[in-house]
Amino acid sequence: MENGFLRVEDLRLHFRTMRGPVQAVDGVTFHLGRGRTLVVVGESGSGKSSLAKAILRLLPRNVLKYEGSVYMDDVDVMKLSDDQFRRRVRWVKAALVPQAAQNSLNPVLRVQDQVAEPLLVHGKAKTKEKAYERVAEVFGMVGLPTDFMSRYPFELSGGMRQRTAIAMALVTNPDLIVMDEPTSALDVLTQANLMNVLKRLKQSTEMTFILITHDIATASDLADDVAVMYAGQIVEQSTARRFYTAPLHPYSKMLLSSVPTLKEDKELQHIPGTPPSLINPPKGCRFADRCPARFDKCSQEPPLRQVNGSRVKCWLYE
Amino acid sequence: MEIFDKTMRPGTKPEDVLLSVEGLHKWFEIKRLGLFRVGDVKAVDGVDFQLARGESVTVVGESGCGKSTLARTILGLYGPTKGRIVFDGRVIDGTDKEALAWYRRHVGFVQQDPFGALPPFMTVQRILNEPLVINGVKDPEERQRRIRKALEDVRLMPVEDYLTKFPHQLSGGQQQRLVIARAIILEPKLIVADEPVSMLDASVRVEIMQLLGRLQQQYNISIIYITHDLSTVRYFSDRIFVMYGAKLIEKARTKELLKNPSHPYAQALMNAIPDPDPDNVDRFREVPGGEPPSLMNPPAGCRFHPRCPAAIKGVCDVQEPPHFERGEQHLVACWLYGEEHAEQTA
Repeated sequence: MENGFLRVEDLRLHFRTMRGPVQAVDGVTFHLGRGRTLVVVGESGSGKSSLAKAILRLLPRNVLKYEGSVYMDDVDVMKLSDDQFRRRVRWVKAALVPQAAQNSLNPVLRVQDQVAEPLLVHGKAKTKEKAYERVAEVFGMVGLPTDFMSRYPFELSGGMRQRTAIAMALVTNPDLIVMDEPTSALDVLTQANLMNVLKRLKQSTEMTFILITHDIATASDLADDVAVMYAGQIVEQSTARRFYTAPLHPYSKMLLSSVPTLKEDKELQHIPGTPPSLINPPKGCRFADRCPARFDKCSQEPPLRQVNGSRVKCWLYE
Repeated sequence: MEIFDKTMRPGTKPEDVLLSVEGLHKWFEIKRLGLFRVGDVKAVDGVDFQLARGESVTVVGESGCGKSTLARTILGLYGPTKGRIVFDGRVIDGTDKEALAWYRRHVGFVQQDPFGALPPFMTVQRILNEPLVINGVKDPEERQRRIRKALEDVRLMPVEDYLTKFPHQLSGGQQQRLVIARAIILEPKLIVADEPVSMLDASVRVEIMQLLGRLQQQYNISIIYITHDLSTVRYFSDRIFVMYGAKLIEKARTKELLKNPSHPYAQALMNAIPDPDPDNVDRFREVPGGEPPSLMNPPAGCRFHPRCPAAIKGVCDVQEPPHFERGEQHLVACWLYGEEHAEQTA
């Protein structure tokens, strides 16, 4: 892909649990060009939130294995020490809008102080006044009235709080923003409003976005590229146009045909079976047990293959 | 019983009406310091509809519009503040405890969060046994037979594998099937499903919706399906009621409403829901700004008027619109479709 700003190679994040290691992210590779938006879709438990955490190195304590490479502008940020990573990457190059962001705000701080904090910590603003100026600017970008700056989170509605969380990620002007399910807890109209805000941001800035979601229909509002995650691995990555019109992997096809549509009349399908456990994932293709196109070769792990500009992890495309 | 709901299928006979909800209100009193009444949250504020046997309807609305309260009031979990529910010819208003107990035997509830709705310390066997014991099915063999049948109906098979499991050993979809099994085990005539699929993954959603649809057909159960997601509706229900600010503002047959949404709010809802389409990237959606109204102090006139792009000054902000007929079996509470009936307020 052109001008690869972000390159993730063979990224692995395993957790230690009582029942054995959980392979939440297991050998994820993808490239993303500057200014593009990648949507990572997958069912719950497919490891998509863990992928976000792995990219930003926001790890819980029970990490067993954390390896691979994450290149941002050709620098492997995985090689940086925690302290360097905090200084040079987090907020500076990449920021996260966490899941249920509207509940991640500190209830006892005014929103302007929370949004301004990364600026002050990273020395991007010398004084509080300067920082507030920038806060007012990003509030404008996400469509929040500036007189809301001195409010407390509980004085804002869910949609407003979500916008605040996005403003916070924007405030340091990072190259990459990772958003984990930014709209899933919101109402339909609020969600549509927020999608408009994100679209406008996308058009007016050079920022690169990774959007993590289970909502395939809403994802089409923002996606330039789509990566489909299944059982800790990316099984298909292609442009949005290709994914929505002619998906390759059997899982992608079934996932798309399970999405209810409002305007067009189609027969819905569901995917039989359940996703495999990430503690003991099946050898070979992880989707094989649920796959209608399974054949002998599927007991071996398929490689991620280039097919007409898409990448797909399936033996059907050999 | 008289048929007053004009969106019912033509030719419905009075004896076909299973449920009749008449002028239903549910207000919650708000007290300050536990003493002084400062107002009411009018969560359901005048809802009327009728439901035929074996029919399914959807109530769609955003959070805070009162749709869950409506579900719970219909279930008899809340006593109505005003209005009444007539079920199979009997009036259920909370004063007659015996009628309420009888009513509850005939109504099943499918909750939104299956894990929260299932007792974590009970096995599948006990969860399904409980309603049978409570409702006086004395014969253990009969109980066992019905438990098996319910599990087979929701496709939790082979049954033996599931009987001894606890809820946490089931996946989200299986938990929701169990909740449905519990709801149908007393062979109800009506199921109220409050957002039954909103916590589930897309691929599982379809399965659960198809399951509910199949049960409805097989046993001729009526279903009231409460949701915020219009896109799941067409696969399911005969009619749609759109709820906004504690009232039903549009009622129509499903196809008709999806083709011809008339209330500006219903139109906005339709516009806001994306179909998966790569062209969406270049499209901005037209959505009204603002927030849903407070149910303590709802706006005068039409409750949508502060957000409505088509609001008529002097009418919409003053008088509450009645239900106007718009085509066949299609009612809409909006002055745009009957302005000439508004009182002139110079």
